[in-house]
Amino acid sequence: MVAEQVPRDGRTRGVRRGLAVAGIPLLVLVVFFAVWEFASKSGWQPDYILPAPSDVANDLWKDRGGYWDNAQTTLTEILIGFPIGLVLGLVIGGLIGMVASLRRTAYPFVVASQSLPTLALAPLLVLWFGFGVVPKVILVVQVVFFPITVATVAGLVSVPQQALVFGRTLGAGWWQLFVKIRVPASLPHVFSGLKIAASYAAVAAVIAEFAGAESGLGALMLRANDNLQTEAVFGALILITAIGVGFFALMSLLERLIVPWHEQYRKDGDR
Amino acid sequence: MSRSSDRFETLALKGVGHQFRAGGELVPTIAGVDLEVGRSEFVTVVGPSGCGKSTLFNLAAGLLRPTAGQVKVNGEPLEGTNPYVAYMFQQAALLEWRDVLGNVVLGQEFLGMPKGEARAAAMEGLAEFGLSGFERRRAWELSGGMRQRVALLRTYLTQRELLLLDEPFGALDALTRLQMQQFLLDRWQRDQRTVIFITHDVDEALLLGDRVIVLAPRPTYVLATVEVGFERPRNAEEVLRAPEFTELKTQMLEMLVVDSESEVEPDGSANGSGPGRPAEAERSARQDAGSGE
Ligand SMILES: Nc1ncnc2c1ncn2[C@@H]1O[C@H](COP(=O)(O)OP(=O)(O)O)[C@@H](O)[C@H]1O
Ligand SMILES: [Mg+2]
Repeated sequence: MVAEQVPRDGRTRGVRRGLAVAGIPLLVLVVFFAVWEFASKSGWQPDYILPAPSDVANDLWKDRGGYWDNAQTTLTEILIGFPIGLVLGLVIGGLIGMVASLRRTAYPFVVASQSLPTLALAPLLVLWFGFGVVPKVILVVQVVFFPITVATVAGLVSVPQQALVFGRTLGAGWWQLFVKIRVPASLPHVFSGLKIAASYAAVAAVIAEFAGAESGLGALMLRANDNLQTEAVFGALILITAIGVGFFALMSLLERLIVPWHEQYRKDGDR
Repeated sequence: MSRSSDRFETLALKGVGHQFRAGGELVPTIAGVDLEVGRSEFVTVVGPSGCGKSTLFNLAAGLLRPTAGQVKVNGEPLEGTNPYVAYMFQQAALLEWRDVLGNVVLGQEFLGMPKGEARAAAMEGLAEFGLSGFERRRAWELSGGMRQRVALLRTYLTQRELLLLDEPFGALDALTRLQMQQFLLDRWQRDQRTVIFITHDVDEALLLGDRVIVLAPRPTYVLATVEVGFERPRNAEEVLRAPEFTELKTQMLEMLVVDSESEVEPDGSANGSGPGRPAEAERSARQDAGSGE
């Protein structure tokens, strides 16, 4: 009762809020792993069906060199594919966003390209380009460019028209309006596209590796699966997830740095 | 190219008509408007929402071409954009990635003014507009009234001689609106730049204008022109209390309400292009009738 009356300073409130935000997912995670560990160790399921988290962790540590080699391959595929997809998405989205006639003619094809079943495409790409990095990069590009294209178009279309009118009456040229109004107004949209793309990229690389690869976390996973080394399957899975989450977090960080005015941050801003 | 050495003398709309092309169908917005505005006039335009007021501005600014008639500036047919015009809107249209100072200098940037010069003028303007100390604030940190002051300052700083203000105070609460109206009256008095001011508030039109252009519902034409004789400089409270004010207001409301009731309904049910608009117009005319009391 008494504690309720004591005015809390800003920092305590900040900590409490931080706990509330980070604490609940963390708690869920801890409970999840605890139940999993118990289910596995109690002999409810054999190890090759459900290895205990501790066994998975152990395997990750013991074979860290092998994991790292394979992770490097997957990371390389993403790090080549992501920038290409980004540039492609910005250029295609930029053109479609700026040119109304392209929105009617070209946009449907862009959408159709995304309806290609990625999984079905993978073996074909391997057949054409071999077991190397190329088919993986192509698939990463394919999944990255689409959300970025859509986001760029949405951004450009949503530009505040009245600011453009204000500029136009003052004789502002196309380039001036583009740089001073259209680009900054679209950036928050582009970043939502980037975040989606970031979480797809790792998945695309792994699926491409499933179709045929000498190394990579997807290849590792497939081999381990064939040999009933289920803890290695889980180990690879955890690393793939970590890469996806890591990329997403990187984009969120960039978003905070580059578009700090974005509505999302404004609401719980400090002023 | 955008700066003109000649000074602004007149804007004339001669039999100006306009239609939008909406999916192959022609939507008439302006049936025919004749209007002349001279240097240093303060003209207000009232009309139900959706009647074509903003379209009229776009025509005067040279952003749209009339489908009939002519827009003339200083007696010459307007080609390209009108070199005397600066705009202001109901939504302040401030850029959220720029602070107040950055927003205020935007027009000068577009006009290619040197940075230092623009900044100096902006700082002076910020003081004059009661915005000193807010240079580094963002638009969303300001009250509605302050946002509109930033937008008005931005428009003033262009040094353009013909200001097109499109319902600039339309979204403000009554008290803030009154303050802004007085502020604009005082500011106008200083250099008496030509102002055309769109509103759907009859009080506002009479309080600010030398002349009120009353527009009919879409497709619009000039229903009436009301001369407003209140002496300048004007004090808002005095004008609003004057018996002549009430007289003019009653007269104008009759025109607006009767007209929107008789002409609007059949159009609203027959035309799919603007659902809800006519009803909205009618409602807003009535609201405005009540809001001034
Ligand atoms: N780009 C456009 N295409 C077709 N119709 C439009 C377009 N812009 C506005 N209109 C229509 O023209 C009419 C007049 O619009 P506007 O000038 O904005 O009205 P006001 O400013 O008086 O509220 C409205 O009915 C609106 O729906
Ligand atoms: Mg309008």
